[in-house]
Order: sequence, then structure tokens, then C-alpha cells
Amino acid sequence: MSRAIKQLTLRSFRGATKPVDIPLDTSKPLVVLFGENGCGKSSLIDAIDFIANESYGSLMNRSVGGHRHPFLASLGSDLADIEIKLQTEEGGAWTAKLEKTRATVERTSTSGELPTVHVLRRAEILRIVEAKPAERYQELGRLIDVSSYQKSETALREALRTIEDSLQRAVDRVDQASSRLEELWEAEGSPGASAAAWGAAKAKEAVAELEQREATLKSVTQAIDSVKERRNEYGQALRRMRSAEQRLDGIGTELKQLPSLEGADAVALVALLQRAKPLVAEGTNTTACPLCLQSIPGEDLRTSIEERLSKLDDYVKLADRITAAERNRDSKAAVLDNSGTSMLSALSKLVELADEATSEVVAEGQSHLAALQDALGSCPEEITKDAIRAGRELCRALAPLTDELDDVSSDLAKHNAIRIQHEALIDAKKDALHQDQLVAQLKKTHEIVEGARKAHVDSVLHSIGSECEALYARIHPEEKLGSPRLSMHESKPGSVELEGVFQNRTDIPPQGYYSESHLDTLGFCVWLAIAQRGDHKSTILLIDDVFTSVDAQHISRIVDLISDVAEEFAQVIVATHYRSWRDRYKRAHAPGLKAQLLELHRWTLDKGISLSSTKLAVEELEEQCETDPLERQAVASQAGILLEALLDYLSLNYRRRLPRNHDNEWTLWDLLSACRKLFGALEIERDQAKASDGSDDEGDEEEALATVTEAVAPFYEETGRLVFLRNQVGCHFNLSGDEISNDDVRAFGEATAKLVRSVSCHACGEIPSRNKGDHFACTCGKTRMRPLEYDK
Amino acid sequence: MTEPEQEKSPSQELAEQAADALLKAKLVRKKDLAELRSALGIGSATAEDWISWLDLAMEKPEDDGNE
Repeated sequence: MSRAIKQLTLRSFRGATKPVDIPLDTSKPLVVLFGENGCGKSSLIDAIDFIANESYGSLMNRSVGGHRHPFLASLGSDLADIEIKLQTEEGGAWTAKLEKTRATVERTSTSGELPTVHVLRRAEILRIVEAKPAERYQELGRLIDVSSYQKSETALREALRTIEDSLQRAVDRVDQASSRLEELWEAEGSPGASAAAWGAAKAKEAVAELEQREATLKSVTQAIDSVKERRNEYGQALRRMRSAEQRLDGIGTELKQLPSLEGADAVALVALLQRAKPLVAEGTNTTACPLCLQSIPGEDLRTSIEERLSKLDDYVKLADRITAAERNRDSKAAVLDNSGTSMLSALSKLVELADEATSEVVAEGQSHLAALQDALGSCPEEITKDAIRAGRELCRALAPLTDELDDVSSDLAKHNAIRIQHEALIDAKKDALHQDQLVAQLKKTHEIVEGARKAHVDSVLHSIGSECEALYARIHPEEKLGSPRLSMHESKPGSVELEGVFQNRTDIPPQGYYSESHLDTLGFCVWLAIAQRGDHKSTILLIDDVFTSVDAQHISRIVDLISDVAEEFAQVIVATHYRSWRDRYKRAHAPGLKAQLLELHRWTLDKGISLSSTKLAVEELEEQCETDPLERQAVASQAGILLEALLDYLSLNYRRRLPRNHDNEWTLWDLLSACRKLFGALEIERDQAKASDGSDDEGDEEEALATVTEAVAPFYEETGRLVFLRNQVGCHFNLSGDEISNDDVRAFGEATAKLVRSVSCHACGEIPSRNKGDHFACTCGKTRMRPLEYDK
Repeated sequence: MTEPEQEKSPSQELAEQAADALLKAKLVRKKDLAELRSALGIGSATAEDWISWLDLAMEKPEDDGNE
């Protein structure tokens, strides 16, 4: 089962104004679609192109003054009505429609693969042959199709650009780090051989001791700062405490200045009355004084207390101020106490750190340190003036430690800067080296990947060129032009040169000297050679009436060539307006049993595309002989035409002598006389399957063949005896013709059919005509005709 | 039953040849070969992929060139 098209249906597409079904015979590798101009051949080819390649087909090669897709619909139809159905022999089925401007193809079967379809139109031939080298490369490149591979090449070039950018950035970083290191080196007086060497040496230097020293100095200076801070806080707390006490003393003085009637006791009395007020408040049901228990009504008690407090108002206010001042003093005393504790702690910490520190400054302040230690030791629980004083002295003595710390920190910062720049330089150099290596690797990779593609394309082109040369030589044997060669242009990438031979020159651009007919066949050969490179068995070739300027002799060679290669592909469909092309198959001058012949009829708007099968002439004659009533004239005429075609073909192949005349037109009698002796000598050898001998040779798949030799003279004699009927019944009016019986007419027809069959291959239907050195052979090679030459 | 071997496209065929040449030149590692062939054949190799394959071959080359 193959991907050959079994059925094609067109609806509202191009010339198909009415739906048309085209059943194809998949047992035959070749379909010859014959039709005079304007019958719809291209519509059928375009339909297959549309569904298989989603292409507008022949419209792509025409300018329609705007969008092309509207012209896909047949006249009077909407674009939405377009429908093409395709079924393959292996069971695949698809339907194509037009959606907006694009073909949409839907699979309607569960199995089968869409065939690969190559279409050859005249425009393709021109593109291949007459295009500029770069355009030819594009055209061939599309057919060779390494586009996926080329995407990876593009990505590779992008990778190269990316890494080259990274390399540049790394080099910039090297420059920056070098420059910064140079500055640091010069600031240090340019010691050593170079900034880089100095930087490397400095970066290796141990800094742990320096860092430890910095940490110690930081601790001591922080402790000094802490002492200073705590001392300030303590001083402030002390000042506030004193102020609170002074305020309390001031209120005491004010109290003393009040009238002495109740004196200091008045304050206590006010306090007593204020405490008693809640005890006799309304709602308490008080009936006696809470102090002396004397029975007094509650209302009287409340009135009495209010009156007395009113009289003692100044005392009341003073008592409130005394209470607030006392609270304030207590609060300040607590703050002072805390401050003292903090101060004590800060001093202790300073003593501890200074004692551990090793510094000349600390050594010089040793006496102050000892004094502080003594002061703290004498009163460890409470801050004393001595301790504060000793602390202040020690802080003053240790003040130069701040400068020492700055020096150490500066040294460390410098070292860090050198180390950082040195490390940045090393990193940047390492990175630059890596990127540089990667760039080199990418370039090598690109060289290999691109080189492989070019070599592949060159190899493909060479192979196509060689195959094309062989194909071309078959169509134009022994001509002083040809040998087409395809090659990549050496200095222009993406250019394909096409050169050929003309007379003694071997580097001629064919389009410069070749005739249009030679260019047509050259383009066809290049296209066929390309198509032969693919997966033949899944490929269908469509040849859309491309040979418009080729003469009959070359057409016959092209027909032979296409017949030969057709079996390599899933199917080959040839559309042609050459009647002789179709008739070569029909009259056994080509392998008619291997070709389905279809004829397209006159196209009209109402009828659209219509077509029918064309039978082989010999089959047609045999059917006519079997039909009752017998169409006497038709049989005699058809037999005469078939016989004449046979004799003409054989007399040409065997170069038989014929009487000279002005128009090179000979009568049937001329041809009969020229071939009489030849038929006496002709022998036909046929390969036939051997009759089974009963043995069961399993695994031997090759069919056992026997050669049978047959003489054709008896068939010729029988036909010759009746040939006079052709004129009497099939051509002219005469009375003697009416006297000839139907049996005789039928016998003439049957004898002619037998004669044709006697010289034709039963497998491919062709009369052997291919020169094989000592005999003629048919296309399939199963039938041979001897002798090769006959000149008697 | 085994699947019938599908005919390779020109791009795939070319990808395999090129990938083998890159391996021979030690520009890529054998362990990355299958991925490289596939990506080259279908055109999915990106710039990052290329950098990664080459980087790995430079940074972590296979000990004996085979694995």
C-alpha cells in the first residue's frame, strides 16, 4: 500500500464550477491527464498542491493585481464553499478548505500519512534555470531543505556574539582592576616590580594580628566613649536630683511662712480631713464622727469637713505641692542611682579592657588605671567621686588610642582595597581567559557546523548535478550541449552556479546559449534529480504541462524517461496538452499498461471540469469486435489506424525503406510492403512464470522465469490477408464494401488486435523499442524483440 | 516487533554528521551527543544550549573521551 492518490474530489475550486470526483488507478504508477488547453488540467494539479502543500498553486506564479486567494474559488462560488478531498491507497483521507486566506487541512481518517508532493510548473523551471545564482540557491535550498539545521547555525552565531560581548566585558573588568591597583600602587610609592606583583604580595600578607589589634582598640575606645557617656548621664542625673531637693526645700520655706495658728500641724490636719472625706460621703449612712465616735449626723459631718478644708485652702495647695516635690525627688534619686550603677559598670569594663590591651598609650596611662582600680576596689558597690575623677583621668590618658585605631583601620582598609582589586583582577583575567577559549571553541564549532552544511549541500548539488546530467543525456543523446553541473559559488556564499557544455566550451551558463526547449528539459532534469533524492515511495510528482516548446522526438524521450522513473515514486501525474503524448501509451509506443489515461473534456461554466478514462487502442478494438451490433466502419477504421501506427513505428525503429514522396506521408500499403520481410524475421521473447513443479521452496521469493520465443509472422499474414477491408469498409464508400460480411470485418479487427498484442509486452503494454545492444526491450524488460537490425 | 526505521530528513542526516565531527574535535562531550544531534536536526538548539555544550566540554571533559 502506498501514498498514491486513490480519489480526488473538487468542489468550488478553480475550474470546478460543479463538484467533480477523479478516481485514480493506484495499481498504475503513472497518470497521464490529457486535455486541450482550458479543460482544467491545472485546476486538478492546483487542488493536489493546495491540500498537500497548502499552496495557492499556479496562482502563486501570476500577478492578479491584489490578493490571490479570492481566485481560488470557482466562478460564482464563495470562498467558504471551497472543498478538496483526497484519499490515498493506504487509507489516508484529508479535507482541505480555505479559512480566511489560508488552506486548512483536516485529516478525516485514522491512518495514513499525507504524501510529499513536488509540483513542476513552467515557473519552477524558470526559477531553477534562469534565476540568479543566489535565487537558484534559495530555490534549491528550499528543495534540499536544511532549514532546521540552519536555525541551529543561527543560534550558534548568536552564542558567539553573546560570548564575544562577555569577553569584552571581562577585558574591561581586567582594565578597571589593573588601573585601580596601579593607582593604589603609585599611592604607596610604586614598590616592587609592578603593581600586579605588589598587589599579589600584599594580598597574601597576614592581617589577622592587625584585625585583632583593631578589634581591641575598638573595644577600648568604645569603653572610653561609654564611660564618657555614662559620666555625662550621671552628672545630669545628679544635677536633676539636686534641683528636686532644692525645690522641696523651697516649699518647706513657704510652709514656714504661713500663719502659725495651726503651724506645721495644719498640713497633717489637711491630710487627715482629706482622708476622712470619703468615710462620710453621701450614701455611706454615717451617723457618727469616725475619729471620736461622737454621734453626729452624716450631713453635718460632711458640711463641717468641707468648711474646715475651705478655711485651710492654702495648706491644702501646699500639701499637694509637697507631695509632688517629694515624688519628683524620689524619682530623680532612682535615676541617679541607676546612672551611678551604669557608670560603675562602664568604669569596670574600661578597667578590664584597658588592663588586657597592649599599647604604649595604655602603658603610659598605667598609673591612672591603677588609681581607678583602687577607687573601684575601695567602694565596689557604689560610685564615688574618686572613681569618677580617676575614670576621667584615665579617659584623658587613653584618648590617643582613637588616633591609633584610625591608623590601624586605615591600614586594614588599604589592605582590603588592594586585596579586592587583586582578586577582581584575577577573577576578571580568569573569566576573560575562559570567554576567550569559549570564543575560540565556538568559532571552531561554527566552522565545523557550517562546513558540514556546505559540504552536504555541495555533495547534494554534485549528486543532483550528476543525476541531472544522466537524465539530460537521455533526452539529448549525442548532442554537443548538455552536461549540466550545479556547484556552490566559490566566493559568494549562498549562490549556486549552473553551467553546461556548448560545443567545445564546458563552462557555459545554459541560459546564455541553450534554446528554450533545451532549457525546459534542463529545468525538468534538475527538478527530477532533486525529487529523486527524497523518500521516493512517499512522494508524488505532478508535472503541469511544462513542455511547451519541445519537439516530438524529444517528447518521446521524455515520455520514456518519465515512464521509467514513475515506478520509483508513489505516483507520477503528468498533465499535458500533447495528444501524441497520450497516444504513445494508447498505441503501445509507451508502457500503456503501467499508465492510467484520463482525458479532460471541454470546460464550460455550467458543466465545469469533466473527464473520462481512455482505453488502450487495442482494448478498444477488441471491445468493438465483441459488441453487437457490430460497428463495421468503426472496427475497420480503428483496426486500420492501429495497424498503420504499428507499421509506422516498426518501420521507423528498423529504418525500413519507403518510397520517397513530398510530404513524407506513406499509405498503409507502403508500410505493409516495407515491413513484410521484417515480420518474417521478427521474434518476440517473453519472460513467463514457470509452471509450478510441486516443490515448495520456502523463502525463495524470486519468481522462476522461463523464456518463450514467439514468431509474429502468422499474425502479420492473417492481418495482411484482410487489410483490404480497411479501405473498403473503414475509409471509402463503395458497393463492394457492402458485400463484405460482418464476420470478415470482425476477423480483420481481431487479427489486427492479435498482431499488436503479439509484438507488445503483456506486462507493461509497450512494443519493445529500447536498444539493448543486440535486441530491443520494453520498459519493464520482460519482453524483447529480435533482431536489433534488419536490412533485407 | 520493532518500529520500522524512518527515513532521515536532510537536516537530521546533516545534524548527525556535524555532531560526530564536533565530538571528534572534542568540542562536545559524548554524553551530550544525543541531545545535540536531536536539537541540531530539528533546529531547536539555542545560543544558551551551544554555550552550555561547549562549556561542559571545556570544564568537565570526559576522562577517556568516551564517557
